[in-house]
Amino acid sequence: MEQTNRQDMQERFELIEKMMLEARRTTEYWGWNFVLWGTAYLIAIAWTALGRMPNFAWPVTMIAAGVATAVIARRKAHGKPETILGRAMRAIWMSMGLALFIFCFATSGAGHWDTHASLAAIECFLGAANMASGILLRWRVQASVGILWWAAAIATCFVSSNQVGWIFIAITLAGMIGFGLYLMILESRAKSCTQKVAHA
Amino acid sequence: MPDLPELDPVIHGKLRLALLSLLAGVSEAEFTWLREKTGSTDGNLGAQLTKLEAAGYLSVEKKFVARKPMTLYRMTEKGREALTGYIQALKQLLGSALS
Repeated sequence: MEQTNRQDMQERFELIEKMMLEARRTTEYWGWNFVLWGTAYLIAIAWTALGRMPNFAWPVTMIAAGVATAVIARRKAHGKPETILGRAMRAIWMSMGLALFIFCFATSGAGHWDTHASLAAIECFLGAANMASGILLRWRVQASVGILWWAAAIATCFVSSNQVGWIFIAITLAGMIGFGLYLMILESRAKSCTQKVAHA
Repeated sequence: MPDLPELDPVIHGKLRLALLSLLAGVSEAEFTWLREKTGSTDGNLGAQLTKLEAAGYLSVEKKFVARKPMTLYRMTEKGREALTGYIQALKQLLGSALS
């Protein structure tokens, strides 16, 4: 009898933990967004190098990615509750995105775009957002992604003009698309593990 | 031997405990989200939410979004205190069961 009571109490503790974790999960899993933006960067790079009207490559792809993010995020958020953690994460990434947008348009519009310095600054921005998210979520994987972006920023300052683009492609593949796919795998695993709560 | 605490019977039901634990982590939640997370039926979920609301642990807001009815549930301060008290009591009971 006592054994049963203890087991029941233990189960209740596990239930509380599991449900609190479920609520927290609503703030996580933005893997699709990392993949989307990583792909947009690669499309913009390819368009600039190979396509027609290369001056339009970055503005068009970035605006398209921004619109796609807003539409998909709105659809995915439908019916899901907002958490304080989620609001904090959104604040970091929206501020970073706007800062990047202003920086890129202002420097290129004013004719002060310098490939080395500007790409290093962009990599620093992305490193900062990943590091801040990693600290907020207490998640070393994302903090490590932040460090990877910062390492790319340092490397960008020291390599030749030809190698700058390759560094950006490599960090986009690892820090955006690779990390995004990893997040999506985690999400699908978490969904398949969700078990139904016993009815009262 | 110290007196063992009583467990709040309103929270003690597993589905009600799950609902309060879910709502502790969010600012507000829709009925459909709570149903998805708990895997409960509409009838059972509605009944348990009514019990929690009657105890003053939840507040309910009904509104229309794009002409569709939406029911939002929020945990009240009383509900938060009750859940904290329940967890403390559970810890105490579990500690005494182990010793």
